[in-house]
Amino acid sequence: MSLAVRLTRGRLSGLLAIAVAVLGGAAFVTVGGVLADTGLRSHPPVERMPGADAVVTAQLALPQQEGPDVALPERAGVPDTLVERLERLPEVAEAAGDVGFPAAVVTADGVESGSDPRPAGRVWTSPGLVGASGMTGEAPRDSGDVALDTETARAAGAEIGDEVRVTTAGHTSEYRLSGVVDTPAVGIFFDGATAADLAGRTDGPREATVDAIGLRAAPEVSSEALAETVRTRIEGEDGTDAVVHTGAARGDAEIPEVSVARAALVGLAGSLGGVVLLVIGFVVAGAVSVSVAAQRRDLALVRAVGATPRQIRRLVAVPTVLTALGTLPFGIAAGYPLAGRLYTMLAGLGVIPTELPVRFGALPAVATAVLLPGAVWLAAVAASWRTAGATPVDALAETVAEPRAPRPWRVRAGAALLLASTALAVPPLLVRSEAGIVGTATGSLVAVIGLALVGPTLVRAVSGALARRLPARTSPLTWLAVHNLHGHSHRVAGAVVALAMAVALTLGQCYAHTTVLVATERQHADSTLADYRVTAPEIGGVPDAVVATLRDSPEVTAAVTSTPTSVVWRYRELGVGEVILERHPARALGPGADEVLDLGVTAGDMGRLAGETVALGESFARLRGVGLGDRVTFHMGDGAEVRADVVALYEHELGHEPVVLSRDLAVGHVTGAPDTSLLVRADPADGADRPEHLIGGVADHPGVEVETVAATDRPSGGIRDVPPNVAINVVVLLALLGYVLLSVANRLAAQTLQRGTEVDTLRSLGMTPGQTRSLLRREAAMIAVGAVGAGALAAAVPLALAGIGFLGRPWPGGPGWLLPATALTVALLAWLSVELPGRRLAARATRR
Amino acid sequence: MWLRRGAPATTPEPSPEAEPHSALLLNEVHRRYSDGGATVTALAGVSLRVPRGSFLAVMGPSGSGKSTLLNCASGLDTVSSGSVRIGGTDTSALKEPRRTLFRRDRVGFVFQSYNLVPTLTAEDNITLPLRLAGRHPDRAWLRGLVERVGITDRLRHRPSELSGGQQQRVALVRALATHPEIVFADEPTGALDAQGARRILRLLADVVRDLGQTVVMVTHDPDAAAHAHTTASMTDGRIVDVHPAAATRRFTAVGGE
Repeated sequence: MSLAVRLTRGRLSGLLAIAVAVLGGAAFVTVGGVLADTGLRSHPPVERMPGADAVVTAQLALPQQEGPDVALPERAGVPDTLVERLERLPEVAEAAGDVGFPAAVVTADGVESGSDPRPAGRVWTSPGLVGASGMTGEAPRDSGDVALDTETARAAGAEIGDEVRVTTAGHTSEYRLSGVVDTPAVGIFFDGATAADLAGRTDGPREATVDAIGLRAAPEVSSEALAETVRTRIEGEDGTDAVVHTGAARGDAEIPEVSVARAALVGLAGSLGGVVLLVIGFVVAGAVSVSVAAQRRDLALVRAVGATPRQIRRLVAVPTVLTALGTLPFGIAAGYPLAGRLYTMLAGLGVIPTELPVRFGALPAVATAVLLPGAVWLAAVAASWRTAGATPVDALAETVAEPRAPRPWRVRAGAALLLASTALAVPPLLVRSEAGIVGTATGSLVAVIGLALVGPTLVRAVSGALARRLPARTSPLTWLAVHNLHGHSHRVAGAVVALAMAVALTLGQCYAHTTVLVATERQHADSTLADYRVTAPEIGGVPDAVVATLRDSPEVTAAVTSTPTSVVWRYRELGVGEVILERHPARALGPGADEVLDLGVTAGDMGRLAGETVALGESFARLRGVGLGDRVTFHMGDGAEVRADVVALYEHELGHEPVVLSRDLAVGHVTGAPDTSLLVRADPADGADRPEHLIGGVADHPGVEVETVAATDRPSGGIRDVPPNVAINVVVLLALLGYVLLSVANRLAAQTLQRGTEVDTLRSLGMTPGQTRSLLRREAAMIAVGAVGAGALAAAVPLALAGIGFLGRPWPGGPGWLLPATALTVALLAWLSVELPGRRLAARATRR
Repeated sequence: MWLRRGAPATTPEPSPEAEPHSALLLNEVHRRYSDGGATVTALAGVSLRVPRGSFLAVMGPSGSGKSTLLNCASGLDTVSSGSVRIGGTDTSALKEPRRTLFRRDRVGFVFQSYNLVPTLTAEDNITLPLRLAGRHPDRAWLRGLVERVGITDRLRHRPSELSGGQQQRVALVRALATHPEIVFADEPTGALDAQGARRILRLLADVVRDLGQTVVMVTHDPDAAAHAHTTASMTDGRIVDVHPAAATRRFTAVGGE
């Protein structure tokens, strides 16, 4: 132990590299842990029915035998008869059905509806359930009454008894303000019959349903006991797959999207975890091996005087793990605020609803504290294996020059991985959707691992060939640099591969995304026939009246409603194996969709998209073995199983969703109003560039907005909007790259400092300090060139395939400056991390 | 490469002769090191003249300053006061990097630990100082040296593939490759077995005798010193005695070390 410390002394640069690797690694793992923990255990606050001890809703996820349940983003109802049945239970003091529908109060400045207007309209249940700590006035009694929460009432500037204008489900009317309720959530309350009518529960697909049932327990009954009774009762009823929520989980019942967001967070943490752990493994192992390399001679000596291989491994592992343990708390401490920042960003991008709070538990810290030192220990044992296991004579001999030639299995495994990376990158050729691009990213990643394995052999071969072919006129320093690279192929390969990994990661991941973006933009631009988009985000959907007005307007050729939603599709991988459920984005389009959107129909007719019909993306349909005219069965976003005929197949599935539903099919299966936006195509004769007449047509509808969707405002081939998931990937990638680069810099610097003896030898042979610096600089330049070349090569094949698959040309889409910028960064880094320690070495007094 | 191509020798013989008969001239050389607050005097006024074509052994116990003397005399280290002249050039007045350049062109070294670059072959190690200086090797001269030390068949090998004695012989050829004014050898036999040591010492004596080289060797081994013409003994940073080598042998036979 004390010997270990003493051997470590003077190896501070190596241990510093480990410390930095652990610091960053711990922060990354903690961030991933916080995201996963939030996804698994965080709940939004209970706001709609805080007084309820238990809340019953329809299932929020489709259960799945293999793998996690599939979260359902749309609200499904439960039969309102269940309310009465539950109320009859002795454990239940009060039961009431909650119904939410789009509503907003019209004020002088516009409309007021809180963060989400889609469920802002509500049925008045009871102060006990709504959790009103205070209420002035009275509950709404008839169809002319409305009650508001305190904040909305204040924003509307209305007093009890005043008339307030309220937009509900597309209609704007005057209501008398009967009461003001002090409740946490935004609420525009109506009496039971009015609310049921406005929410479309009197007829249609949602007839006689409520969104949720709030239950208050009878005295002396705990909420757990209540939930248990209700669960038994529900399971007894046929055909009801309702779920009971208690405690913090009641929050999930209020916002269906939350369950999707939580699944997304876990998925994000998982997919991040894969790449991050891989990179951390590389970086930590690299740092440890540098540190061990520095100690190799000492270790060999200790081995020669009788230490067992086991003792040697411990000599290496103990200080390394101690360093890791010392740094770990700081990394973890940094991880929490970083996770907070990332979470805020995710919420800002709309990936997760703002209602879901981030959860800072102890679990991520514990997981990090277990995972990382374990990884460091493994890396230390692996790095010292050879020195520890060799006979003392060999151990001493190896210290003279580098370890022997790389083992042959490395080359074979590396070559196999490089081949595999090409195979992995094939999907874009077959699947022209975002699923295909995963292959590109994975392919480049696998290629990097392959590169790491063949690295030493490759460096040896290339530098050897270079050394033999150098022309006689070559400067002696370049000549010496090449020989140094050749002679230290192991050490050099470590640096080259680490930098190449940064290059391949950057190019592979960024260009994979941008290629899809460019292809998406292209398709989008090609397929947009509409001139205007009408939306009404503040009132929860485009009013029917606006749709009718515009459709009948003589200046309008076509007006088609468009609503984003989701579907859950059964999928059997490769036609065999387990059936898995997958959620896919979908879009519900009104009749006449082919007038505003050119989806690139390859078979069938979009004009037939009405009733129980769908149109599918070509590769989506092919992968699922579905053809034109087939009758398909799938789940809507609220979990309901539907059947529909496939009336068309289209090829623009990148720029659009892979599934297009007829509006008739989607009605009743989406939260809020059925129409999120209206795509309008103007009559060319009347001039397509005149939005005024549209605004004139919708001016008397508060909260309705019109925007131009001219295809010309999209720069061809450029990228206009970066979608949130890409933005996140880029942010995480940049952070990861920073980490990799910092670690590589550290490692290079440590390696350079370890070359003191070598520099001294050269200096004693008459090399000037300037020549010494120049020699190191040349080596750094060659390392940088090798790294950029290898990294670009590793990413080249997957990216070329992606380019062919998505853009029909063998190079990816995206900014061209990325490659030179990456090369420049890598070169600068290599130079700095060799130049600074090199200066110190060169300036040192000549000793022998 | 240079052994296989028979190009004519083009190296100009360096010959600025200010002191026609002295290869090395030390005048009242002091060297002090500051170790924290304390000052350590390693050389306390050393004056020494080494004639051209002679073989001097510097002896003395550990800490007597013999290694410092070699460092200062060869230009590896600076002096605190006094002057050092090598072949007529005042090296103590040279600044970096001129001191390094002078050393590279005019001084040869043989170190106890050989100081071969592990990534280079024996041949490349030998020519390294020439390459650094941008000079063309004197092929005939090098071929002669290589044959003389007997490493002709080892030129393609890396240092790790050579025995200690072979490595030191490579180092000796490297030291002589530039036609140096003087060769400094620092315990050249310290890491070798008796047979290897004898061979190196004999080679050193040979190059002095046959090629007219000047060699200054630091050693604590009386047997090694016996190969030299003259022996200088050092104690506490001063030269206390200079005598013919044969005398050393006799003295040590009586008194040992």
